[in-house]
Amino acid sequence: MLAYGDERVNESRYLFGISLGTFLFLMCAMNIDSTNLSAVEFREYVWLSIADIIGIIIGLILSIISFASVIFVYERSLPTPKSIEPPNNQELNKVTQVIKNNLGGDE
Amino acid sequence: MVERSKPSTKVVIIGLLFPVFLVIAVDISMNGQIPNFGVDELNPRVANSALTAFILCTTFLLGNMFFYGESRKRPLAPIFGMATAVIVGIGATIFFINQGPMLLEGNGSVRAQLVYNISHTIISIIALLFSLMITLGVLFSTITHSDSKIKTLDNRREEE
Repeated sequence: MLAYGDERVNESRYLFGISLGTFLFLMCAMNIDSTNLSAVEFREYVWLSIADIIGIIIGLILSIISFASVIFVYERSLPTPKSIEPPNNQELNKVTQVIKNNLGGDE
Repeated sequence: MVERSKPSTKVVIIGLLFPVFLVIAVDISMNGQIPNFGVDELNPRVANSALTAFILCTTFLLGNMFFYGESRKRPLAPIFGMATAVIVGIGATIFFINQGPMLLEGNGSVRAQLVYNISHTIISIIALLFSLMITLGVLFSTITHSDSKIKTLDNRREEE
């Protein structure tokens, strides 16, 4: 947010506050026993969910790579498009004249 | 507006993964390892979720390959896509099976594990989408709540 946004310090502070709150909540739950769930059990679930997310990311990357490779091979086999000649002086003058004729305003 | 150099993709990816590693690092340093819980319990979950996500995403992308093949006049593209996906899937399965006893977690049959994997992946994706929605909601509410930058700029120009 701070890196890509322009003058987004306040917005990034809100998001950072939410992240910090969530992180503290997670840390409390991982260290304090509750009536229904012990801290150790909660830690196990957190670790399993991290493993889950890592697995999902690996699966998505593998899938995207396998299809992207097919598209890459097909697109690479296409012939390169013919490049056209650059505009000559006569064409440039004509374009300049057209632009001049259409530029204007109340001033 | 001041021109600033934009961060590279590596920095953004590290920023995305940083919270996960932070949680792991803080937990290990505060509490140490969980008794009777280690890589043998984590590996099946990673393998199952990776393979399930791969299958679901492949199904979605295969549909897109039909449109791609039609639009680029490459009718064999979906077939090649399928073949590549099958090869990658078999390779990933062999790799994960070689890591240790896995794929059947606490379930009695393959079918039960299949349903468990799909429901688990869907729930994980829904959880990720919820967090994304909350983040975007907070982001847009703060952006729309703050003063318009155009108005601020106009006011500055008028003052000058």
